[in-house]
Amino acid sequence: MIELLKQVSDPRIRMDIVFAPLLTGDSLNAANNYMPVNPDPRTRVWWDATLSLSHQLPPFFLGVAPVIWDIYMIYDTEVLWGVNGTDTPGLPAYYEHQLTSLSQDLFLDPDRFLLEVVKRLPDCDEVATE
Amino acid sequence: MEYVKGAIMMRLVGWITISLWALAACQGTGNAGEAFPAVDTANPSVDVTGPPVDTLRVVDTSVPDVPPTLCSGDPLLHDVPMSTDMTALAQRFDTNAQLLRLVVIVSPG
Repeated sequence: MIELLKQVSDPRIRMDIVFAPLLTGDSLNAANNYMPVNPDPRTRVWWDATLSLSHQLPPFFLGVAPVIWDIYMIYDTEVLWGVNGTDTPGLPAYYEHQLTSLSQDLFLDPDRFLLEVVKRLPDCDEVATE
Repeated sequence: MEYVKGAIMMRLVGWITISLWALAACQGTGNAGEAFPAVDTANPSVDVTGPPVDTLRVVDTSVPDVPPTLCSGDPLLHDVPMSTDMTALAQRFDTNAQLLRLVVIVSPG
């Protein structure tokens, strides 16, 4: 997903990559090994040790399992953290995923996701085609 | 004959003196200013391999060009370590509320 930022240089984007211990062997050390070597300055990487987001976000999605991950979410401007008493920003404006429990119509398609990002950035025409 | 022997002895003493002086100069005594200071073989705990890798990390502490209100708390730096503070994530999210925010949750496995 960090590749997406290489295609959109717009400074009006922030990306937060949240690693969490979701599978056997997942650890902070493993997450550190997946840290981008040259992270985009608009990106920050986090370790959610208690699966806080993965446990609290599912109610916002229809039909999802109790724990959510492999999900790529876009939040529009002015949305704030702490929706409905949860410690989350709630349902995103758009998302794609790699889960079987959510609609397969929104299964991750990087090109489509990129277009969804760009169309939310007025006057953004900086999609690189390298 | 005695004169010749004396001259030879004087030259030998001179060469030996010069050789010993040169040898001492090459080995050095550890004093500042010497080109080749002595290696302290009696103290092997001294790390001569250079500083730890972590200390070589370049941390950009420069002030970002964008106004602080736009991305306060934003790293805007390279090589920022991973954070385990999810409260800081919430603060960063709200601080950047006028921006488009992408949040990705993934397993590192």
